[in-house]
Amino acid sequence: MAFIELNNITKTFHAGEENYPALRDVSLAIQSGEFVAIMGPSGSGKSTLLSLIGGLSHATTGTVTVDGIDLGQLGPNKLSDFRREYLGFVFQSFYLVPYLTAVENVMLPLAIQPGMNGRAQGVAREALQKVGLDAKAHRLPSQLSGGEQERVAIARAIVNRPPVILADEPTGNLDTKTGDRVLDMLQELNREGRTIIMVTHSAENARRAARTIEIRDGQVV
Amino acid sequence: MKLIDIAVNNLRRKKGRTFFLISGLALGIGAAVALTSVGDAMNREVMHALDEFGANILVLPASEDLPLSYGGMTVSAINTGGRLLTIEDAKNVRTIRNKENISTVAPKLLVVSEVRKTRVLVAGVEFPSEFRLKKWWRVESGMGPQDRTDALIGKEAAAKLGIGPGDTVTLGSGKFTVAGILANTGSQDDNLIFADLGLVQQHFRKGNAISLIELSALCGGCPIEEMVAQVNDALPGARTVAVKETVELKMQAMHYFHRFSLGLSLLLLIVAGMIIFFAMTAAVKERVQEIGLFRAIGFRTGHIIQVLLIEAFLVSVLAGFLGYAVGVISPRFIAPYLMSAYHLTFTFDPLLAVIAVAASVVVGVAASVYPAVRAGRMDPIEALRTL
Repeated sequence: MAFIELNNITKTFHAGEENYPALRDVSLAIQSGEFVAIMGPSGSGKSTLLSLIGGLSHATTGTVTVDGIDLGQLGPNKLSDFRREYLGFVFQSFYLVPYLTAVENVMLPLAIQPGMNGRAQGVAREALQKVGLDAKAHRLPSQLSGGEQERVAIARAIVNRPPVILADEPTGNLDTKTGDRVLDMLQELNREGRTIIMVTHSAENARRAARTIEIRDGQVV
Repeated sequence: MKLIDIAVNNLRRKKGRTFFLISGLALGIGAAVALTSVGDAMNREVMHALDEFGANILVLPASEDLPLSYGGMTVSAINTGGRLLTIEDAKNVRTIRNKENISTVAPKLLVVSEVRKTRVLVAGVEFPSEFRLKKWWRVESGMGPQDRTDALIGKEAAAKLGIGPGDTVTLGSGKFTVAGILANTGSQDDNLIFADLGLVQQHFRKGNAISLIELSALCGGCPIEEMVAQVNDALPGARTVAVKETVELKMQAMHYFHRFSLGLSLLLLIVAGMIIFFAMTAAVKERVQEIGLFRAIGFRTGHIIQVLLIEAFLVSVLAGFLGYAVGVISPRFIAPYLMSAYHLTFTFDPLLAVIAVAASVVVGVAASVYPAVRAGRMDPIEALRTL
């Protein structure tokens, strides 16, 4: 059994009387430690696929399992625990909390981690060091460049050492050079053994991954 | 990093919003505290005014052979040969434990005299204390007593006897000049002649005897029954009674004030709660993405609710203290327009401070529960719209 498995997944959105199928009968398997790019044009369903793997929404039909856990069987709080334990998210819009400094943003996942009392600051500084931002630990997001904000977001995604990193268009808001640096980091995290699933619409970015899954009109092609 | 740190940092770094929340709640609490303080002070002032208005304790001789009516009150042992009180008893009243609460002691000697062949009741009084006790007394024609031999006459008595200011009347063995006529009081006083107590005692050969003592006790802060007992102990030969109508009137006035300020305070707290409710709801909407992120990185519903309620708690505690300060200080500026500030005193009341902070916390946190629960239950995918 693969580390991540999607079996006959469909996801339909409803707007009034209308149904919009975002994913249609998608099945795929991702092994532990893989670097997979999910590629496709806007509206193809790639971000929906990522949200299902991330336990942020449930499939309309079919099953999603991660490390043998059927996400469809988990309630909201169990899904939260699953995300905390298994996943690190990197978003296109960074989603840094504006009133927290870089290091406080990185510490966020540790605030609800049992047994982190007193150690959180050190662990967060380590993660910031890893992305080369330790010197700017006490700056607010508004005092950081886009690239630096993305690096803080990566530090936050890895601070509790999750086995899977989900990256949604991680270079979408960055210039080419900064974007390359972020992709280098994801590759490095993959080399350390983490499973990386990256959503992108750029073929060039997808080449950094070991495998590319292409999605069009809600189906794997 | 704990959940409280997230709440504190949010409040610390979003100063404008925090200020708005704290001031909104503090104003509500402050207004309620001010109302309570002013209400209490007004209460005290009204009580004081009522205390000084008429007698509320009556000291009579213990024997009751022949009750006679005086001012709607029962007076006994007048000219009946029974034991009378003495002027010493009036002095002894001032020795009771609650003597500070006695504002006026008005001893009286009631005797019957004949004036122009008509029997009339004469009251020997100490005019200064009598005027202090009977604030409604007004000299209609003539003037107030200027001399010990000056007398005042009630309106009905003046009309019946055909006496006016400047006339001389013989009371007992002494001659008195009618200085003025009292305006109609609607009481027994209208039928009486009032003259100096010492001279009445002398001219009627009563030694230092008196018929009764009227007391005005400032009982806003003391139990009147307790004072009655104390006077009874101090004057063994006397019977002391509380004028219940007066006491009940005071209690009723206090009750109305209390209910009015309590009702208005509750209304203000509800308004303050609504301010917090709408502000928190708006804040939650503004923080949708942040809440979505918290959910995405593993925060449970309870964690989100905790963060928001900790914020509400901190805001409420600060607003409670600030509101109490505003509520205590502001009446100093407002009160002079509401009442004569002469008797008005505001003091630090630790109980009111605790109640203000507790009310603030209850209102602030209660008003935040619904927005916080809604935030906690927010669908992360709805919150993070880019996914």
